[in-house]
Order: sequence, then C-alpha cells, then structure tokens
Amino acid sequence: MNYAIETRNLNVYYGSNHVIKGVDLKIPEKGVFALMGPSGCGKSTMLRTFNRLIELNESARVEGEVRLFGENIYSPDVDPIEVRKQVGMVFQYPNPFPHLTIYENVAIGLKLNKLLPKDEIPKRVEWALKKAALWDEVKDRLDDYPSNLSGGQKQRLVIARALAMKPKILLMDEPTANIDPVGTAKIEELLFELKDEYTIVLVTHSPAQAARVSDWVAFLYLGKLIEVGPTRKVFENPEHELTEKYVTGALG
Amino acid sequence: MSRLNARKLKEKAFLACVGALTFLAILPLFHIILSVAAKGLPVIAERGWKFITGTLSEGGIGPAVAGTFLLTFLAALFGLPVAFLVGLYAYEFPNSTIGRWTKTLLQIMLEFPTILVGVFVMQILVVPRGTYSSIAGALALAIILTPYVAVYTHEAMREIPFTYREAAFSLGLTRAKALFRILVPMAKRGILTGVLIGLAKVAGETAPLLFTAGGLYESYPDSITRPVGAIPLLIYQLVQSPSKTDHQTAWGASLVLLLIFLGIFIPIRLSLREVKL
Repeated sequence: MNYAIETRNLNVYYGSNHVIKGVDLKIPEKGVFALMGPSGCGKSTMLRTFNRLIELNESARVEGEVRLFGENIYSPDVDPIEVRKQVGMVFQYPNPFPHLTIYENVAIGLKLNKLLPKDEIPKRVEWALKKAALWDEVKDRLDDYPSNLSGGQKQRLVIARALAMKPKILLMDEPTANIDPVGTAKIEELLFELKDEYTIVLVTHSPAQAARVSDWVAFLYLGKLIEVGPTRKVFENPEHELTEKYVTGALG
Repeated sequence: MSRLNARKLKEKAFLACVGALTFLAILPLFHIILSVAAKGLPVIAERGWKFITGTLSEGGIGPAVAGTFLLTFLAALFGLPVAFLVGLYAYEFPNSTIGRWTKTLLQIMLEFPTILVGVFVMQILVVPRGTYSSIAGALALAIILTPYVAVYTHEAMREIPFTYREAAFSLGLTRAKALFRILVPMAKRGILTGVLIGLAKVAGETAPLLFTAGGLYESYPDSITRPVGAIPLLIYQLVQSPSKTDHQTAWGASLVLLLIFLGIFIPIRLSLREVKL
C-alpha cells in the first residue's frame, strides 16, 4: 500500500539536542491523522519535517527518510520549494498576512508561484474560501484586511490560503490552540468535510480533540513514537501504559 | 496615620522631582524651536518670498535651499539601495560571518564622527578632481545615511514574528519571493521610518559638507560636478561673519532648516504606525 506520508528512522536534532528519536510512521491517504502528545514532545518539529519547513531553523538537522507518496523528500535531488507547493500548512497562531487583503491572502500563493493564469485566480479564490467555509462571512469584504476578522475566521482564511494551491496534504499545527470554543468547533467541523479529499495531519496536545476529529492517532512522548493506530482502538484499548495515562489525563 | 502621610509625601516629592528633571531635559528642545522661530520669523516676514528664492546678495538663501534638496536627493540615490540591501542581508543571514560583522560595523558607523567622513570623501573625490562638488557632498551624506536606513531595515524585518516567515515559505515560495514579495512589504512602514529619519538627519548635517560641497550662494546649482551650497553650511559661514545682516539671514535660514527637518520628522511620528498584526 502506498502511504501519503511515511517516515523511516526519522531523527531530528537541534544542535546537540536530540528531539525526534528514530520514528517510523505511516500515514494513510485521506482522512485525519492526529499527532498527539504533551508539550515539548516533538510533534510540531515532526510536522515540519513533512514539508521541510524545519530547514528555516538553522540549527536543525534531519536524518532518515520522509516519503511523500513514496518519494523521499530528503533525497539530494529534491527541491524543498516544490515539496511545499504540494503540502499546505496551518499554524498555531492564525497568521494571515496582515498587509494583504482577504482576497490577496488567498491569491498570493497562486500569484507568486504562477500556478494559474491570471483570469482564473478569482474563481479559485472563491472556491478556496467556500471550501474553508468562510466565503459567506467575507464575500462582501474581500478587500478588507484580515485584522478585523475573529481568530477562528483568520484561521479559516489561512486554511483557504493553503487550499487555494490544491495541495494533497494539509499539515495543521495545533490550529485551535489560540481560538475560542465556537471557532474551534467550526474548524473541527471543517476537518470532517475536508478529510474525504485531503490527507490531514493534525498536531494537538489535547487527547479530547484527537478523539473527536481523527481517524488515526499517533502518540508521541519525549521524541519517541509510543503508539499508533486507529483512533478508537488507541483510546479504548491502548497497548502501552503511557498512552493510557495520557488519554485519561494522568500525564501532562 | 502619620506614617501614611509621610509615605504619600515621599511619593509626591519623588514625582515632582522626576517631573522637574523631565522638564529640564526637554527644555532645550523647546527653547531652540522657540528662539529660532522668534528670531527667524521677522527676517522671513520682512524679506518675503525673496528670502526663499533670492541669492545671498539679494538677501535670500534660494541656492542653499536648492542645494540642500539636491544633496539630500543625491545622497538618497546613492545610499538607499545599498543601505536597504545591507539591512536585508544582516536580517537574512544573521549567523554568517559577514552578517555578524555587518551588524557591528553598522553600529559603529551610526556613531562615527561625521567630520571624518567629510575628510575621507575629500581625500578620495575632492582632491583628485581638484574641485568641490555635489557628488562629493552627496557621497559623504550617503555614507552617513546608510547605517540609519540599514539598521532600521534590519530592525523592522526582525520585528516580523517568525510565524509569518514560516507561512511565506510554507506556500512554496523561493527565498527571494518570500523576502521581497511578502516580508519586506510587511515591514515597509518600519523601513520607511528609517528612510525618513535618515533623510532628516542628512538634510541637517554640516560637518561632512565642510570639505566636500564647497558652497554656492550667488547662483543656483546647475551641475552635480560643481560646488554646491546647503542651508546648514550657509548658517555656519554666516554666523562667523561680523555683519548684522548676515546674522539675520542665518536666523531666517535656521528657521527654514528647522521647518524642513520637522516637515520630514513629524509625519513619521504621527502617521507611521506599525502594521496591525
């Protein structure tokens, strides 16, 4: 079987600090795959190896393989820029570009990467905003700046920005950590709608959220993969004592 | 009860002390502005438009005003592109050897005695060419302008939270596109502030022009390879003259210089706020 993402003996170091320790992980196509674990367990770091965004941090060093649809993105002939065009990302802090309008925020990736002829961009922007369940709320103020949007709306704008490039994979780094409960519910709802078409990797520190929205879950602790499997199974019948402690709230 | 009063009294005394010292610190600023206005305004009122447009023998400072604008413009032309790129380089490659040195050197340049810049440019341009010129004056000013703009550019870029940098790169942009199409526009207000502060600074400089610009007050500058005047330089020369008329002209010129400086500076402080994040 071909996996959307597959890591082989993945190790990440920050300087001499070993933060991901020999992780082998297989993430199937389509659906929500949750990476959960307490703060500092390396889940955000691991997520950033899937689109090589980790390389923005100069002290980071990656060893091992990450395969996207079978292709090792750490092989020397792979251009990280091409990888990132196929992998959308949503961040912990809702970060639409504040100096661009709502419309431009969604169009910017298409425009700068010249992925679409100019006259097709407006249609794609509308499509992406609808896909991110934001269109109805912003269609009359596409030329406004995102500073007036709520946190949840900003986050859905970031989702639209990523979707506009039609990525195959969507990486989400604790997308609801800075969002109010209503906004969180909307984003979780959105995940249900998107998961039939995209492979979504969701990083979360909340076991409850992982249980609510994911199909598969991996539990990461101190840089090691402790347990991975279908969400139901991991939560109802964990194999590892640490996992049980974590999902019942006895562990950070 | 009495302890409470003593405590409150102490607080009042301290506040009064801080208030008085603050007043003392900003007193010179207001004194300068007021005395320049009080002594300059009557001169300009008496001589009218001719003061701004006429030559020195006509009782005006027209060539000096033109010279200041010409020098500032040329200094911006030479200095801004270099300064902007240096600032960006220091931001983008902070850990490279050159990047680290750049930051230190810019700090030194910021505090460098400006007269030495004038002497340097005199040696490399004025002496070999055998004449003062706008180019020489502007080059000296550009050297003074560069660290301001570079440091402000660097700071403005560094203030952008890392998450926006990640967002730009996550869209599959090249380094150049992420930098020039997203991050620089995000920091443009901070960068523009640096540009205007640099311009305001060089528009008022005297020392670097002493050995480079030469001075030209009886006709308007018509070539950038010939000597040129400037308002601060003119003031410096007029104040040394024994003539009372010259002193009056100097006060008027001071007011014009002050207005140019405030005209650049006040809009920066009022309107240039950071991008709302």
